[in-house]
Amino acid sequence: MLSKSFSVQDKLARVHFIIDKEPHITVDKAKCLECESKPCLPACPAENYNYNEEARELTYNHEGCLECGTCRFICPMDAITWSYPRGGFGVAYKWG
Amino acid sequence: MDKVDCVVVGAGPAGSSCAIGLARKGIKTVLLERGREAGGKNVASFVLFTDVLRMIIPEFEDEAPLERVVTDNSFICLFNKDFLEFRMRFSDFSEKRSAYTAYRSKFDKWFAQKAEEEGVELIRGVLVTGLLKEKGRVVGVRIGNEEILADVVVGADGVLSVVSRDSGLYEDDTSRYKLGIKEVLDLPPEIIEERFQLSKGEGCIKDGWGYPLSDVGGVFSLYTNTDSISIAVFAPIDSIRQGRVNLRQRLEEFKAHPYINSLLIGSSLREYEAHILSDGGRLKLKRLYSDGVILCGEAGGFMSSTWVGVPPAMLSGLKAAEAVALAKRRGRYDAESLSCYADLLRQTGLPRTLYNARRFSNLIVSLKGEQIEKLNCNLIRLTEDFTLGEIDFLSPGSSPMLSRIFDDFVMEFLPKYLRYPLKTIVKSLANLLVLIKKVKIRRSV
Ligand SMILES: Cc1cc2nc3c(=O)[nH]c(=O)nc-3n(C[C@H](O)[C@H](O)[C@H](O)COP(=O)(O)OP(=O)(O)OC[C@H]3O[C@@H](n4cnc5c(N)ncnc54)[C@H](O)[C@@H]3O)c2cc1C
Ligand code: SF4
Ligand code: SF4
Repeated sequence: MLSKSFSVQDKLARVHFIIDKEPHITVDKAKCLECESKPCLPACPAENYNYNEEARELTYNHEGCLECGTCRFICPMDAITWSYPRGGFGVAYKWG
Repeated sequence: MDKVDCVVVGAGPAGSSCAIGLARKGIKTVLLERGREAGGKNVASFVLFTDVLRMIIPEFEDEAPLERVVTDNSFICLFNKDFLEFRMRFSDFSEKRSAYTAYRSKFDKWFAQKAEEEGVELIRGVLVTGLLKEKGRVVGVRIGNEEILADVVVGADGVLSVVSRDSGLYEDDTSRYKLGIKEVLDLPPEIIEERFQLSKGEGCIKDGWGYPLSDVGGVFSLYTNTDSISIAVFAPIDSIRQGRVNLRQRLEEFKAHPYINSLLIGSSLREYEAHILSDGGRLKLKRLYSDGVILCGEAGGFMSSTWVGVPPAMLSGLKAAEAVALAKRRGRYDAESLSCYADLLRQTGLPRTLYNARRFSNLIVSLKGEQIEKLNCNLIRLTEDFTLGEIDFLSPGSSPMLSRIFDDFVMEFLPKYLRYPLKTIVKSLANLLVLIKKVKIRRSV
């Protein structure tokens, strides 16, 4: 076996980020209530989107965003507004 | 900032090549990059085919941050537990040093430095948020509240290009997008060399399809660096949007496959990365330039997952620089003056190659699930039933139809490194058909 199997959180701990307090992602959460398939949950490689069943609320975290661009194209309700983080901020790969 | 001749947006392979080309023609150029370092935002597997880079910087091998020279190349058909691997070694590969593995963050940084050495002004940590326009003509770029005026703007800002969208030259076509998720895994050089049967400094690249991505027409790659292995899995964005694939899980399934696992044993995670890519070129060359603006690299669609992206990005960047220089001589940067770009591109053969690659990648995505599994099974059966050595499987013309497919399709459509494995497959299939025919004839006799 591989020496260790990582959770996405463990994987992200190996990525360097220069965190911008200003979020580059915003979600119109009201639309999520109407969204059945919720493709953002499995789609994001950084597992940045989660759904809290009890609170019936979508939560997301722009700080661990790998800037892959996927969530820009997958939301059926057009609820996600995504742009790049400000210049100089965000993911800073050492290897890439 | 004073008005400049040319602003290039994005210090990836396309932007830096274009900036080098412009500087060499004496055009005052500013190169803008949103990352704090050029390369810090960029992801690839990454095999670098060297033909275009050798043209730009003939002595690059002395200084570029390269990992291993590729001497060993294979295509893997993966099943639940099993696999079939077509593997080659080319003396040509090592003699001509046609390809190296590398890391994007190191390579792009070095390449942008080369542009600076040519006299380009590189500004890092600035995000271009839109284009400045006057009467429909592009006259510069916006960086938040600031502006830079320029005679011409080059969009080299990659697949999610602001320039190509804001200029109205491009609208998203998600059917052409794929997501790639990648890991860099530490492994000591001696173990890599022993495990992959490589001499010191030599590397291998393995691409493939099948398990665990066959239902969505996905592909994977596994490349060796000096002291690490890069693995990546790819799936179409449309299949992700439809919720048919969780690529994070597929990556884990890929790593757990007995064969892949045997190649990765003892490794540990160094970095986790993800990036979208576009596939297979734009069909209309006219949509690559307009008044005061010109697109190159992935921003202009110069990329195909079956033909890799960095060499076409560099080549289109160079040609964009030539087009700008010609336009400067005419003293106008309108669409008509920049239209020489289309001719310059046509002369390289790049548009045709990309068009063919696009058709090939359509085929892979349309060959879904069962079909890929069936094809993989047929290949296994083929190798079980016949000793390939006894069949003259490289002789052309054994089946005219398949030979034609081979000539039109394999040689034209494929990246160089895939030609040889698929040549073997197609020729073997051709021979299989001939053999089946012979057996049938014998039986009926
Ligand atoms: C997982 C994966 C594996 C790949 N493997 C390979 C491979 O093995 N070999 C290969 O040849 N190709 C590979 N590719 C393709 C290759 O990475 C791209 O085709 C290539 O990088 C395109 O080059 P480019 O210069 O056009 O764009 P990019 O490399 O994307 O460069 C664009 C640059 O512009 C900057 N930028 C973007 N927007 C702005 C803005 N608004 N303002 C300022 N700066 C901006 C970015 O930070 C970036 O530095 C792979 C791609 C992926 C995703
Ligand atoms: S896909 Fe869009 S609408 Fe649906 S849950 Fe995610 S963000 Fe909300
Ligand atoms: S850009 Fe990619 S990593 Fe960032 S939130 Fe969207 S899907 Fe996740």
